[in-house]
Amino acid sequence: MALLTALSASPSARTREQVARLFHRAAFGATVGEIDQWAAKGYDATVEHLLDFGTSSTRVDDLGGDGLGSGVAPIDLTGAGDATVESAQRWWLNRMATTSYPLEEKLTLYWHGHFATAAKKVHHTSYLLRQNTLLRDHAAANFHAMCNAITEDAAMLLWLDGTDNQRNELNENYGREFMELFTLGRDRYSQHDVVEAARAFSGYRVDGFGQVTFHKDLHDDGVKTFLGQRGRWGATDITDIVLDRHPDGPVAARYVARRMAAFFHRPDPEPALVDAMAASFRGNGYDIRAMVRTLLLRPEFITASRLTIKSPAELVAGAARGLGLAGRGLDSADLDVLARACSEMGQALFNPPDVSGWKGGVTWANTATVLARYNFAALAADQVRQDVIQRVVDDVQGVPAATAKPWMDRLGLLSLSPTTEQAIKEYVTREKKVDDAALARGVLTLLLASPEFNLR
Amino acid sequence: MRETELSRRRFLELSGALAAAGVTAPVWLRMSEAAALDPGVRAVGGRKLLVLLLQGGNDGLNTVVPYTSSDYYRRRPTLALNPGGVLKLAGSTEFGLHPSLKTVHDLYGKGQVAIVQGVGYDDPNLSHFDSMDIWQTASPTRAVGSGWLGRWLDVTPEEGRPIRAAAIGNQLPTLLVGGTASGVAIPSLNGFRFYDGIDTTAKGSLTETEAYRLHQAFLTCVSSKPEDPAAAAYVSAARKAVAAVRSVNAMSDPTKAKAPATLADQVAMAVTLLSSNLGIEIAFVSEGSFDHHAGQLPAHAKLLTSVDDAVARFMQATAATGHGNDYLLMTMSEFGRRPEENGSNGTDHGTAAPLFAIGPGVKGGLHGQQPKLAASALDENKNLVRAVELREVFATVIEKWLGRADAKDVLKYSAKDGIHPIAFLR
Repeated sequence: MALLTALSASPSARTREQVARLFHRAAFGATVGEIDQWAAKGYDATVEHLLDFGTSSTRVDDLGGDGLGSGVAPIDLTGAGDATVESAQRWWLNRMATTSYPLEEKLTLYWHGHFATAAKKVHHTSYLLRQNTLLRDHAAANFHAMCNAITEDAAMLLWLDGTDNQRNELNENYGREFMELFTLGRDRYSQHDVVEAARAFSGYRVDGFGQVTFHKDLHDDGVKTFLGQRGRWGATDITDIVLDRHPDGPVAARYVARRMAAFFHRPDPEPALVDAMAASFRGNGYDIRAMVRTLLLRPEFITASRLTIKSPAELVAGAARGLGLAGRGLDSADLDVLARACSEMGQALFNPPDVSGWKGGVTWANTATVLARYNFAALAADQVRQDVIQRVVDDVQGVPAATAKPWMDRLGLLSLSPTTEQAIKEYVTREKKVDDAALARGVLTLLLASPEFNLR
Repeated sequence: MRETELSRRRFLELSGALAAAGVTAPVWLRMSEAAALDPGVRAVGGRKLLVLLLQGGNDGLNTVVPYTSSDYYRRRPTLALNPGGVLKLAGSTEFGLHPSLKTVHDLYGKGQVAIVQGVGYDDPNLSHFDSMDIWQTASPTRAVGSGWLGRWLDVTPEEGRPIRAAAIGNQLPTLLVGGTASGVAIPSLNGFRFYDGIDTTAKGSLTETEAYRLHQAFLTCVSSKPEDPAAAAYVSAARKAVAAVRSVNAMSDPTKAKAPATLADQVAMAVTLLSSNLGIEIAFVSEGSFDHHAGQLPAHAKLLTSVDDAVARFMQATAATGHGNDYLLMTMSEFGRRPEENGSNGTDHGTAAPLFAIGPGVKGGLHGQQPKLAASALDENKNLVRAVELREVFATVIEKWLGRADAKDVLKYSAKDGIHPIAFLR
C-alpha cells in the first residue's frame, strides 16, 4: 500500500503521512489542504486539536439540536414525535460528515458499537436518539459515569429487558452483557455473579414517554455476593465493584482499552499499547480522553504497520465530507443515498446486528458488502454537483487521468498504489465514448472504491 | 433501490438497454476469481446442504416438547405448552412439536424429518457470541478462525465451480469461511448487481458498456496481492464480488427477481442458487432473534411459524428442481434455553437442544437423547447436560452427505475425543 511505503521519506513528508493517517483514523478524513496545514503544526498539535471539544449538549453550536446549528434533517430529541430509523441514520451521517468535532463523533460511533442497542427491538427512535446524545456527551468524559448512565437509559432498559428485571422476577440479560460486553469481557465472572448483578440492577421501569423511573418496591435490596463481595448492592455498586474492586485487578480498564484500540488502531492491538492505554485510563479515574490521548500518541499507533478496513459509516461520512455530499441545503433524498449505502455495506446505524455490535475488521469485506462499496462509489460520484465536476475538468485541461489529483486532494489521499494508477490509466484510455465530465466521475468512482480509500 | 432514486443526475445504463455484444475478457482479467464465466462450467448436480441458523438461542424444550414430563410443567408454570396443543410425534409417547410446526410434523410422519436431541458441547458457554462461534467453528475448547463448512471447502476439490457456498444476506458467517476457500454473501438476486449498469448478458457474455469498462478498471484496482491482511481481505472480496455478480446476473434476470421478504423467500432464493449451474453446494439462511428473555410465548410461536413456512417452501422448491433427493436442510442454534422460566415470561441462556435435519435423505425419527430435566440431572447453572456432542452431528453431515472428506480432518478430532457420528442420514 502506498500509505505504508512512503514513511521512510524526509521528516516533513513522514509527518504529513502520519497526520493524514491520523485524520483518516481519528476523524472522518480531511482534505490535503487541511492535512498540510496541520502537518506544519506537527502531529502532537493535531492530536490536541482533535481532542479539543467540550460536552456536546452544552455547546452553543449544538443547541439547535441537530448538532449543526442549522435546519438539516431536524429531529425532535424530546421524544414527542417519533422519527423513523432512516431519518435518524441520515441525521447522524450528516452530522459525521459536517461536524467541527470529528473525533467526538468518531468516539460516539465507537460507543454505539460498544453499548450496541438496536431499533429492531427498542422500536422508539427517539429513545435511541437520546441514547446517542448520552453517548456523545460521555464520549470523551468519564467511563464510570457513562456506565451508570447507560444502566438507566430507556433504550438500553428495553433492549436488554431491564424493564422486565424485577425483584423475585429476575431477568439476566443486562447483568450478563454489562459484564461480558460492556466492562469485563468473558471469563471474569460466574453465572452466580450474573444472577447477583441482575438482582442489583432490578427495579427500573420506562413509562410511555420514555422516562425512566426507579421503584424501590420492585428492587431486590437483599444481601448479594457479587464477585466475592457481600453487601446490599444496588446498580451503582455493581459498577464500582466491576471497575474498581474486581478480584483480578483492573481488568475492566484493559478490556475497554483493547476494544477501543481494536476500533481505532487494529483488530489485534499490541499488548504493550493496550497496557499503556489501560494504565492511563485507570490512573486518570476512567477518564476516556486521557486514554484516547495515550492511544493517539503511542508509537505503535503513529507508525502503525497494519491497515484496517474503514467501517461503512467512516467511509460514507468521509466521502460525503470531501465531496460536499452532506451539509445544509440537501434534501433527505440526497442524504438517503448515504444512509442506504451504509446499511448495504453492513452497518445500519441504530440497528447493530446484536448487543456485541459490529464485528468490524476483515468482516467488513465480503462479496455483498464490497459490491455495496463499489455501488456507493458510483452513486457518490454521480451525486457530486456539476459545478464541482466542471471545475475539476477545467483544471486538468483535456488530460482525463489528471482528474485523479483534484479528487485525491478532496479525499485526503496523498498517493496512489501502482495498481490504482494503472486502473485509472486503463479506464481513461479504454473509455472513448463519454465526455470529460463523465470520465472525471469514472475516475472518482475508482478512487472511492480503491483499497487506498477503503483502508486506513 | 429504484433507479430513479439512485441516478438523480446522470443516466445510468440499465440491463434492458445493454447491447448484447459479447466480448472476450482481456488477458489481464483472467485471474482465478474472475473466471466465473468460464463456459466450461456445467450444470452441477450432486448433494446440496441448506443450513438454517436460529439466531439468539432457540428454546429446545418448547420446540420438541417433553409433554409427559412433570419436571417440564413444574419448571415452566406459564411457558409450558399444553399437552393437548402439542403435535404428537408418531412412535413416541413422550415428545411432540410446537403447534407452529405443522409442516415439520407432517413431514415427520412421512419419515422426512430426523430430530437429533440433546445436542451441545461440554463445559457450555452461556455467551451468545462464544457459543455461536463454537457451533460455527465446531471447536468447543479453543477459538479458531475458520468455520467447519469453510474447512470442508478447503479440503474438497473446487471442480471448476465459481461459487461453492452462499449465505443469503449481506453478512458472511464464520461457518462458511475456511482457511483458503470461503463462501460468498448474496443479499438478493435483484440487488446483487452493479447499480451503474449490468455488464453481463443472460448467456453470461460480457458486454463492453461504459459500466463494463469501469468494472474492468476496478478489477485492476484490486488486482494487487498485498501482504497486509486487511488489504488482502478487501481486494480478494472485491475480485470475488465482481465474479459472483456476473455469475448471478447471467443466471437469472436480476431485474425480475424479487428481494426476499421472508425466511421462506430466502429459502426459495437459496434453492434457486443451489439448483443453478454455478455449482453451489452449500447455502445459509438465518432467522431470529430467538433470544426470548421476556414475553416468549407469542414471539416464539411467530418465529417457529416462519421456520415452518420456510420448511414448506424448501420441500416445494427442491421437489420442483426434479432432484429433491439431493437436498438436505439442517437447523442449528447457539444454545437452547434454561429449563426453568425466568420472572418475565421468558427464558435465560441454556445449553443442549434438539436440531432438525429435513429432506428425503434422512432417517426419519428421533435420534440422540433428550437430557433429563430432574434437578439432580442438571448442571451447576441448572441447565441441561448434553447427550450428543455437536461434532457427532457435523461428522455425519460430512461423511454421509457432503462426502469427499474425512470428518476427522475437517472437525479436528481424534479417537480419544470419543466422537461417534449419529446415524440420522441414510
